Amino acid sequence: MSEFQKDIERIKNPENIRAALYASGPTTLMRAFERDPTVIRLVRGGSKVIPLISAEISKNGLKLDAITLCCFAYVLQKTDAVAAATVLRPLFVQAMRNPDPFFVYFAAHVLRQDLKLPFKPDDPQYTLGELHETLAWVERTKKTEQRG
Amino acid sequence: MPDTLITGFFSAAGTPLEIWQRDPGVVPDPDPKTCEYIHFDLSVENLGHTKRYNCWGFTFLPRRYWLSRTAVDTLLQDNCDPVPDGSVQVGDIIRYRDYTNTTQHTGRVWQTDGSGHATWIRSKWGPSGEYIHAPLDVPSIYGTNLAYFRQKAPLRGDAAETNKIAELWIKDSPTDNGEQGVRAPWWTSPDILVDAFPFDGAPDVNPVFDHPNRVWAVVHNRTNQRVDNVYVRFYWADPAAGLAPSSWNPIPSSPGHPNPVGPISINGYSNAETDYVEWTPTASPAHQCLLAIAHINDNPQDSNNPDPIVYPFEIPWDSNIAQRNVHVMPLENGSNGELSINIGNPSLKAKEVTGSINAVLTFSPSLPLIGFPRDIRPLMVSISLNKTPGAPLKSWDKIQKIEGRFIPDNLYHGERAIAGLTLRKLTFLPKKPHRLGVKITVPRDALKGSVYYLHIAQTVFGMVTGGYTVVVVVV
Repeated sequence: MSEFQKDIERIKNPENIRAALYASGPTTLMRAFERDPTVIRLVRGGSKVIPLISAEISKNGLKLDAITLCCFAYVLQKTDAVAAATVLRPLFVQAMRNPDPFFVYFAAHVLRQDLKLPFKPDDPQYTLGELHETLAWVERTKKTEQRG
Repeated sequence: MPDTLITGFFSAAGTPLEIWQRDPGVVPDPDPKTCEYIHFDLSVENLGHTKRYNCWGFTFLPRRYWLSRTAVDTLLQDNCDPVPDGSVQVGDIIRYRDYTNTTQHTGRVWQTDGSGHATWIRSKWGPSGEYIHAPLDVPSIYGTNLAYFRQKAPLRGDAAETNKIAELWIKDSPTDNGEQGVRAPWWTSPDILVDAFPFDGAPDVNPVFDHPNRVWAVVHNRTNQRVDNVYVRFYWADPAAGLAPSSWNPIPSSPGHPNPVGPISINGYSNAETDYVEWTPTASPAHQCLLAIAHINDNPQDSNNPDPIVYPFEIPWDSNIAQRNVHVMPLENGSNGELSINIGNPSLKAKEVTGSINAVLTFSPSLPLIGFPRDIRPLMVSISLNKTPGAPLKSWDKIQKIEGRFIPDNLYHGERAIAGLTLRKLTFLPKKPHRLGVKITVPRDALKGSVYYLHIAQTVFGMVTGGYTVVVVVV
């Protein structure tokens, strides 16, 4: 098992991101990721990490803990924003059927950057209206791609 | 339980709030600084780790729900006013922002120093525990950009609904405006009423002994939504300043008059009087203390309770709870009055606490409209501790500042401080209260109809933890 794979396994238990357990919202959670050594190591892993996280998301999807999913979204976005959007798009659509106070915001943060919708790099907190706007744009883009 | 968005909660300006109902499960928190809830039966519950509420839920909808940050920024704008550091009061809101100037955390000011700066905060740390901590003793992700706010209005509900949100309130003092952190003398509730035998249906100033007295309360609802199933629980205690939760005795139920009384319904922005309980004080002390707790239930984990009790037995902290420690003494010119009260350990768990006792004598003209007389004739008051020789109160001119926050600016309208005394560095032990003897002499030339208040307050760690007020009316 590679060191990055070990880090991913570690992130799958959100208690290993100590400060994440004090977060009351997605922006506070982002601050926890910014200073967590495991997360920092994964972000530095760059392109080597993307397939590992993508595989984990494909395998377990929304069965993963919401904080773990947020962390994966954060690492992917920091590493390759376009690849992050590709991986997270179907998961966001699925998650919006039963939204939660963390993951849908991180996923929307990635997708809004990709869709060139207004977004603040340091703040993944959106209104419910913005979440639904993101969903509408994702679905519209999907239809366009299907037609094209 | 899946996370669910719930609707029907609004800021004072009518903005809908983003609120989540989350898994209500609780895991006990081993951290020794975690907060506890004291039930009516005095059993203690570790509030634990839970996703049910976050810091913002603790601040604005205590222990019920998980609020979104967008809701908090809305509430800070619509329901609160900024407070400059240096004017901070207990109960104010502290807001933490990080280097991006984004709100990351909120809590309530639990204690201040004498200069209006927060010294202790109570807050919930995400899905982790609820803690009392120094302002900057928090996870670094919350940031260090601190600001303070005072909540001026409660949240609102959908007026077409009932029992979703309530703000029950029994006044702590005549000047209580319903917000948290009411300042002393918070033991002078005008909403706890006593009709002494023989009954005439009108409130009396003092209870009578060895006869039934009728005790009831006025309960207000500060929100716009009707609330049902409200109960009020009544307690009595021996005359004291510094009462632990275990010092309060439930008034026994009598046929047709159960304690707690209820259920009653209270319309939005309205109030209601409860039925009465029958109380027959038989103990020898001249006066006894009364406590009333308005509640829907005693379950701190019930998200559906429209107004949970947040700080049981913490009178100044919880608007649902009020205390009446007022003893009215009619005295003639030249006569004497005496009484004694206990000053005990106010904590349920601490083996001993150290603090002080402050006494402030104030004067109020019988007709405030005509102003103060040029020459106020002060009562002669001496205070003895545990049968030591009594020490006279000093003139107020000599006492520029009294320890702690118990200063006469916080007292009733129309009062003027004229004398005071502080007894410092006292140790308060459980079940071994200090006995405070008070001797009052009315000068022969005092104006008839004058009203004097002697406020006696216990202060521990800079907080007023109990008090007793003697009202002397010159007849």
